[in-house]
Amino acid sequence: MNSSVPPAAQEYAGDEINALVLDPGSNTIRAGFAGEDTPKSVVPSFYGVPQSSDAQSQYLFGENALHNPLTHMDVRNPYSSDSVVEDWDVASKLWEYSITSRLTGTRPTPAAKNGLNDPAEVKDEDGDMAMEGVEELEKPMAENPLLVSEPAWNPQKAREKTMEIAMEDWGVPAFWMGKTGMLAAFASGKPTALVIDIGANTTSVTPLLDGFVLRKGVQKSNLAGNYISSQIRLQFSQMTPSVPLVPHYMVKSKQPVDAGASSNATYMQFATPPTESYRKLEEERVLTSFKESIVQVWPGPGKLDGASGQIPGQTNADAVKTLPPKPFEMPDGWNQVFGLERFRVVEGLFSPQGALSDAENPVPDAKHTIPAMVQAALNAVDVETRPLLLNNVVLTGGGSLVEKLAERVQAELSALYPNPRVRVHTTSSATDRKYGAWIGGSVLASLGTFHQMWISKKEYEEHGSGIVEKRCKS
Amino acid sequence: MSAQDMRDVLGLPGDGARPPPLKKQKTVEKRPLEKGMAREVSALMGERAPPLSMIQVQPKYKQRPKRQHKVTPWEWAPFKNQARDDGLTLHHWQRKQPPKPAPVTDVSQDGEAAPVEDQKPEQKEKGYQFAKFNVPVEVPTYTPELYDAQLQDPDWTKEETDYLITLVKDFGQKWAVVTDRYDYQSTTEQPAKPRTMEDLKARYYTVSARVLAHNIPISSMTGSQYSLYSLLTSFNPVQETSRKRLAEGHLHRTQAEVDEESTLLSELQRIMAYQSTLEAERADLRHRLDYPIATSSTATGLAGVGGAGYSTSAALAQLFQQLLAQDRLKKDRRLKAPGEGPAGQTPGGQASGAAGHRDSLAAGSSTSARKAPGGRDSISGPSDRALSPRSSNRYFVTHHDRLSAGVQFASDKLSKPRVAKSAIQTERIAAVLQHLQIPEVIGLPTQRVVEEFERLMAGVGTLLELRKVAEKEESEIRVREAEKGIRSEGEGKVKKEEVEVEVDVDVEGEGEGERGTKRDASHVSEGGEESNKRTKT
Repeated sequence: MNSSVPPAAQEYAGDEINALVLDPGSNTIRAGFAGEDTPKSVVPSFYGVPQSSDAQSQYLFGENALHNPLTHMDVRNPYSSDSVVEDWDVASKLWEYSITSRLTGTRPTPAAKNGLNDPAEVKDEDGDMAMEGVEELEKPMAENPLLVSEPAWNPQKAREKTMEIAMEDWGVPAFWMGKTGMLAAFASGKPTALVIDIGANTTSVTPLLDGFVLRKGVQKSNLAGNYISSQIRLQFSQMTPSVPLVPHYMVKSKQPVDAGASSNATYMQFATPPTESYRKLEEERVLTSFKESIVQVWPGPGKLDGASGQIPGQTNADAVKTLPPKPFEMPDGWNQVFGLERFRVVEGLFSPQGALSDAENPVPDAKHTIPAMVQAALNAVDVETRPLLLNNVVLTGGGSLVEKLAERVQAELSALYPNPRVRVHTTSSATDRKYGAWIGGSVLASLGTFHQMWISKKEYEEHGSGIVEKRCKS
Repeated sequence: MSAQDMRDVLGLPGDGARPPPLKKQKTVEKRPLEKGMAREVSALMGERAPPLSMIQVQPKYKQRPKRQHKVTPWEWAPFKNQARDDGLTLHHWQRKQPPKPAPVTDVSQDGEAAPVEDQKPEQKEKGYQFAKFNVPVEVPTYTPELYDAQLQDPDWTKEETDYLITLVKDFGQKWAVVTDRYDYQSTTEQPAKPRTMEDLKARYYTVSARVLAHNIPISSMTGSQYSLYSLLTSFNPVQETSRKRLAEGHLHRTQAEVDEESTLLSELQRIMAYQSTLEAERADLRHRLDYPIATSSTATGLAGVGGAGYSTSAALAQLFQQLLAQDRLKKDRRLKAPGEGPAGQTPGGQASGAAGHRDSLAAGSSTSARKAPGGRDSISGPSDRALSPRSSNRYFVTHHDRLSAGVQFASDKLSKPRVAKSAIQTERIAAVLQHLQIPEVIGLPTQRVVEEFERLMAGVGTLLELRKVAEKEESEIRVREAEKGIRSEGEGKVKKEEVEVEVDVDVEGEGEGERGTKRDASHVSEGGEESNKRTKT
């Protein structure tokens, strides 16, 4: 196809206006241009606060600064345990950093105005365009409309605050807010869906009908990625001998050792060791790699501790024990094989009885497990939409990448609702699931029909920030 | 010194088989001059190619493609969306409107310049291409006076009704969403009532219907408007609620119930499939009974002259007239029109009458049929076209519509109908033939005998088919009776009587069909016997 021919608008109904899409989460903040298939800028939501120096106001953002083992650097997160922004001051800076660091940084001369594309004979007509380019825009995003995602339970105040930041601090010409559940469903091409989004802090279940979130049905719980991490920590401490958890920055060099043997490594020596919060962040990275490589969900049918369907008198856990265990090596060379343990740590997402618990980590509430949340969400919506939703269950979020999670959800929901057809839709691509909400936002903001939905600067100035409730109804 | 020189010196004859010097000379001449090398230097090389290092190779690249058109300019163009009322200007990449091409010839000016001029104002008018997808939902609108006059409801305030209408408009009549977002904050001291989806729907539909009826009186509504009106007024919230309850119960069925339902459904499907095949078979049978049995005479084409079978008296009369007309053209007329008196009879006519008499005798005793091949008729005309049916019968002149391709034995006509595809069917045919006392080998298979035999066999085929159907019907009746027995056991006596009556009627119907079948069968067998007798005589 000739590249000078634009694609027909009816083919994909797209009309790209260089909009920015920001999908802030409690673990990472995703930002990028609408119309692209992955966010260009993924920035951790954690930030460093160097306490020793006098520069109190200076925060450290981004992977490179964050994982540097500085002494006296406190690692914090502006989000509450509900994935709602608590510290607006830092959050807005963090968001701005995620956009300006990679996307809109120093402003280049627009391609239309750098003289390369000017045809010789029409230069006279374009004389006024050069003047336009001279005009200085001091606000960082004065040219790009911005679409921001939010959790479905985001309070009205938070929405208004977000809009104020975008309009007044960043100077965006147009703004819109969409719920993460809705956007994730759009990313998988479904206007009607039951979105199960397993994030870092929260797992949410969002029923969606024709692009509208059914608010009464929205469910959330803290049994998400961080909960699995805490379960892994608990599992490590309960194993005999307990598993040592040494993050990467502590290890200078290591020697290979046998499985289960104590590690043979030299450790870094710090005059003043990094703070506890820094160590926790780095430990989380190790746990993340453990989750990614080892942890698996019992695919069903039944619970992990439930009676086995094949062999009477046995539980599924017994069947799991016969499977070959998987090895995992810590940064300091300590390694071990994990059998039943790697199944045990995620069982809490599905049944409170299967979860590990001690004094600090109480047994989770039964109504916070995924099947219970789905049930609660369905009970809150109209009877006629329930089969529709069950047929379009969309599983998304980084936490859903745990192996066999989709199979387990399918099995659990089929057992709960034997009559209607249950179908769990997941994409096999890890990026599509990690950045589901961002991709949905990217799709939405590049649609030609969407451009009538933006809240423009003019409307904001007329009606104030309250207009966000009126216009962003999704 | 070359070998040729040696030969010359020694006086040997030249070797004609291989003239190498000539060839070598040629190659030397052929070798192209290397570039960047003087011809003299190149000649020093002789016939060998120069070493590579001496040749300056000029690299040759692929030619640049010649493009006639220039690169299309694109621009970061501002646009306004007509679906918005705030005049927000956004930017997108757009193809720059190409400048008017310079008028090279008159043709190009007519062909290209004119459309470009047309396009520009057109695009301005069209506006943003996605603005047309902004379709608002139509909701009823009413004035306060209209509300007071017609839309009053003790359960609803005007404010709440307004709120409902706004919600419906905002969410595009998606009732599940409207119900989900319905959160009316009552301004007066009385608390907002909890509303179900049915309440909302009922109120909205009532308001819509009344507003519609107010705007257009029912008497002047068009068909579609009236159907909408009747749809709006026929909403029944109570029924809807109970339906929802049923649907919910349906949703929460257990696995066992689901399994049972699927088994029952497959069973029902099986029964329905059986029923439909049975229906098809019956229809087939009715079809068969309504149509007359094809006579074998048309197949053999014995009587057929013009092509079609002359099965009706009218057609036969027509045929006779036709033959008569043909006959009149000839001098020697043998056919007599009914109006002609005996006085006009020619001797030939008398002779033909006599011959006719003889023919009839001959037809009776077919043994003597071949005895007079050169009778008087052969004298009467050189062609056999004018033969009377009787004489053509006599001389076994047959006319065929179409002869089947290929060679076949005449005896096949006798042996083939006896054999059916299945052995059982063949046995049955044999049994029927035995019953009719048809011999295995038919003694004298003349044309007529074969014709009769074919008719008989067609009858036998029908008889067998009808017998089969009758058997099926009987078994059906038996099954029904057994069902009736079971049903009557299970149900009360009052119902039983009804069922009995029903079944009786049913059985009668079946019986009639059966009797009809039997009658038919006997008729056929009678026919078979008749023909049989005739064959024997």
